[in-house]
Amino acid sequence: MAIATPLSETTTLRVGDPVTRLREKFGDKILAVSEFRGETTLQVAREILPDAARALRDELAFDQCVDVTALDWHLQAKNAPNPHELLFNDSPLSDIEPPARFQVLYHFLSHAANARVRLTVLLQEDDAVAPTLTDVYRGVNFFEREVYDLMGVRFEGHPFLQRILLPQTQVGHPLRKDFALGYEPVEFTHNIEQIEARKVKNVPPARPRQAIFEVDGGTTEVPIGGGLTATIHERFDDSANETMLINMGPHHPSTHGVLRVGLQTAGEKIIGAMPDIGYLHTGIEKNMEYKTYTKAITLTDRMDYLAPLSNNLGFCLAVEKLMQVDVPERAQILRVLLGEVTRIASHLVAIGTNAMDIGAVSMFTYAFREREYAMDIFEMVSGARMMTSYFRVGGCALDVPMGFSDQVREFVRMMYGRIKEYRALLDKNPIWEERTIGVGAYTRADALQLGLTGPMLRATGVNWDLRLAQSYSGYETYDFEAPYNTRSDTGDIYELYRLKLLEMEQSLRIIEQALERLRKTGGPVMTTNRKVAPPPKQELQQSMESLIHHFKLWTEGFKPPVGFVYQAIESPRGELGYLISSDGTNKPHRVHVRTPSFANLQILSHIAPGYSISDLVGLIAMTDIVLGDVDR
Amino acid sequence: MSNQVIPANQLRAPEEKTGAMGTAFFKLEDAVRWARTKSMWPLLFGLACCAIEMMATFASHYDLARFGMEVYRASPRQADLMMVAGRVSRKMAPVVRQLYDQMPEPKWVIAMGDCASCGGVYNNYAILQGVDEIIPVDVYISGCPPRPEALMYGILQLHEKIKHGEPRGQIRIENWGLRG
Repeated sequence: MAIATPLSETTTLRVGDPVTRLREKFGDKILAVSEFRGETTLQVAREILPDAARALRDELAFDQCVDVTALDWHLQAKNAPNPHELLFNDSPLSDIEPPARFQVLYHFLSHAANARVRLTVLLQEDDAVAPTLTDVYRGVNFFEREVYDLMGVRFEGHPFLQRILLPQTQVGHPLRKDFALGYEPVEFTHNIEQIEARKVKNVPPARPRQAIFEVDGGTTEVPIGGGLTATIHERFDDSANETMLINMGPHHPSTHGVLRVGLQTAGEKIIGAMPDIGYLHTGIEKNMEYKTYTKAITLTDRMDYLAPLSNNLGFCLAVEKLMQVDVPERAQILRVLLGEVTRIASHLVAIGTNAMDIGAVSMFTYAFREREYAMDIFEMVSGARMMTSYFRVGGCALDVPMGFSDQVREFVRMMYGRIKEYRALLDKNPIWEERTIGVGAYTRADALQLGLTGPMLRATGVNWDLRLAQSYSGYETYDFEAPYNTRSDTGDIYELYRLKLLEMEQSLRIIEQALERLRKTGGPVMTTNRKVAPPPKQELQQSMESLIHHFKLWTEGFKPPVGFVYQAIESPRGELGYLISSDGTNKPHRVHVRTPSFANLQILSHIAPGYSISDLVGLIAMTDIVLGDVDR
Repeated sequence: MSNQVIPANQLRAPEEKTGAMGTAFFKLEDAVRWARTKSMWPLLFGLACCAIEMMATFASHYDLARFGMEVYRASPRQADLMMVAGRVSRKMAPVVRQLYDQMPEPKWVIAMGDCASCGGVYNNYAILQGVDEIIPVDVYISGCPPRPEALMYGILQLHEKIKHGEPRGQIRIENWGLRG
């Protein structure tokens, strides 16, 4: 397995380089190149896709494939112009007859060159097969399975192409445009008999019908009765010793939600572990296609429910990038400030639950004590403790109330002291050290290959934080640093705990600076672009035009131009990317969320073998997954 | 001393300590119902966002232990209250049903939040439109997610319901909010 150039060596690649290089190498197999909102997209012929990816990885230092997703250009659903013509107007794409239905998108990231590039292939409906990239980037495993599950595009050569989010019994692929949303009409009635008649109508079978576990690499299928099968890693298949298969979850107190892990154990020792996800699959991406852009923000909250404001921010930034909307200075400051409060609240839960799983229950109660203060801040600005929907396209929903700065300042002052308390409790705690140092060690090579981001990646010594590297919302003007592992290129539970505490301190630094700026900066918190944001109330009584804008925005919403953009932000868990595709109507054509937990979870089956089940709960906590974020 | 009824304002500390507090007369079933409300063991079971608020409710700030409810049991066989905290997907539904079936009688269910009550904002292919499609629910709590205070209020409503001896599992949406 080749890993790209060491990250300490800065190479002098330019963003344009991949295009030239791939053109030289593959000639007319590069079908089209387009540039939209600063994003480079190369449309390649299907057969060269693995070679192109390999060239990107080995020759151009694109060491991560962060995301794979697909769009369905089935035009039946909406009266939209043919997006192909508008997206790639200088391309020979119009030669393809009939227009391809599926478009698979691969997003590559180079840490060394700080660049992104996107490859895309077009697939016909009756031949929706793409070659797999799992040989080049192991981390696309889950992503390709997701595309197969939700969109029905098959990946040839994938080691385990099974449904990942939906039950195995599901018929159809829900994100296809010809798959209905599945709306169930609910008749409102006060008639108690009618209400009663609706209840307890479809009692499902008492047991889940089928579950398949898989560990990548060579596999052996093991039927375990009751319709359950498990496929187990050959590397750990030790026929001399008797092994057993254990089901952990989806109802388990230490899996941080409804994660299910299929375990193969020899005694207490784990020899194979495979996460089985989808028990919280909510269909949010499909639901968003039926909501206007403003209404879709409310759904973003409910994905990563420990960091709702980060999700709001990612979505809003993506729409703003698509529409090229400027955000006022004061709104930018508020976004940074509240985004960092979110990061602290999220890390508090991460550290608290991690410590509780290992046995330090008092850390959990301390963490939740402090989290309440962050909740109070969110409640103050938005009225809701968790599901704030505070950031809107073009700014923030409304300005902060009086007393906000004092409350935040008090929070910051308190948190500095409380972080010291946590350190006193855990840093040198011999039990904590024994249970965490060196436990779950994984290397930088694994982290890059599997698409890990955020603290999980920084724990392996990669100095990479999107707030600094690909800055947004004015993060580049703040004085802070992203803590990373400077001692080794191996991450473990303790290292992640250490980094999270350091990150919280850095967040406090950012909040202090933002508070100072907030005091100096007045002005609106919403853009004055009337095509995006409704005019203030007093204008309505004076200007006919304002009235029209108000009416149009609240009845049908705004209509971004045709095209798709990918915007990534640094959420507490890692790279949170929103791919938003617009067909020119007031509702998104497709919203895909590249969630950090989804990719980070893949490390579990690589680090778990060799540890005992009691360590596994610590490992799950280390990945800091939120199941809403994984399953969406 | 033992059969003498002492008015409450004349109770003295030493007598309280020895437990000599006089005699009270109950119907046995009332005493049982009263006792049931005082030590409910909820199932440690969270699905989505509401589970975080549920954790906040039994954590330090709101401290559900005040109601004798802090002993969350991870095994359904030791629990008598299921709080369905979050959206129930169609993949999860058989699991929820199985957990409910494993709980011993008597048992109660609280549908916490809009999603568990009626599907919430998700009316789509993946989400069950209310957990009452698969198990009987005693108390519905609105909110997305409900505040910890709302959850406590819902729990107290359930206590009231148990004290009044309403048949378990019968869904009385129309009057749960009016009592108490």
